Amino acid sequence: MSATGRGVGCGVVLGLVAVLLDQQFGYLNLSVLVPAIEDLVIAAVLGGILGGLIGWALGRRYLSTHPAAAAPPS
Amino acid sequence: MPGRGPLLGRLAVVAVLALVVALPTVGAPAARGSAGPAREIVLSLPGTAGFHATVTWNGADVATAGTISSAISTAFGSTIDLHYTWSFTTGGIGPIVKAFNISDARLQMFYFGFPLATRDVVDSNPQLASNGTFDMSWDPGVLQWVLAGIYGLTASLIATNGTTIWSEPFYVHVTAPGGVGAVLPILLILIGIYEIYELARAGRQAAPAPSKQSAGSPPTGPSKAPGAGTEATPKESAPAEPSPAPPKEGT
Repeated sequence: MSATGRGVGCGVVLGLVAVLLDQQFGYLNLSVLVPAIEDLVIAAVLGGILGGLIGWALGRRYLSTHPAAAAPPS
Repeated sequence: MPGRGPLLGRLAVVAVLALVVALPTVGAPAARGSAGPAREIVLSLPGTAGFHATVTWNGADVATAGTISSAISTAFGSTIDLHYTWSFTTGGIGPIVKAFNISDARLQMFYFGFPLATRDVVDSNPQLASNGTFDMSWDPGVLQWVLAGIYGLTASLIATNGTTIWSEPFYVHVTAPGGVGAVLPILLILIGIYEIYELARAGRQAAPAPSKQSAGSPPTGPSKAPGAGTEATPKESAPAEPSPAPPKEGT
């Protein structure tokens, strides 16, 4: 799995967790099904995009600081 | 035809009399008061115009908690007392009084549209009446250790035929013991921390995985594990050869 893919996965989960935590701390209403699902989907998509960008950036930085990891095996 | 006129006249008189007699009885199947200006007609039809009800949650009127910002702050650690009061008023329209056969006071708590908890107080012998009360004592039980946050609830009054005569949605803000002392917020926080840690380590995934050829290439020496840098390789055994190759990073 690439760094971007790992970032997308983590971002999706973090987006879902953020919405559920918002409800647990009293800022969000998840009592009605359709708007609650909409909130979850939007948060998952945004989290996935952000997580993918972060994973991609972290991957680039890792390769720049670890050139041996970027070099193809001889 | 000389005999037809009087016959038609008699029939018309009989029809008018029958109509006059029948009219006051229409719509009064349950009971009828005495004739006069203060006459009362009691209907058992479940029309809800003029029906009023109030529900209090530990003394607070739930009608004031119709939005999230005005949610009733409560803790699930103790029993919650709800008091249902209902009445029917004609509103000055006339002397007609409707009676309702309310047999069930219900409280439902919703999460993702599904009832998370349902509590009923059932009147086993409901009577037609124009007002009434229900007292409910709700113990959330294990929910106090599981949940926190904003939840939508609905208080409703149900007739004997199952019709919901009245309902009122409202919100409560459940405070967990110690702020976050419920299972669900703690679990979510732990998952969040783990995912943040995994996201921070995502950069290591950028290192290309060792190819099959390098991983599965036959070792140059006997019993040499590929990629194991701890054992001596022929390169290491070459004494004077400068070896600028950086150490291999394992992922």
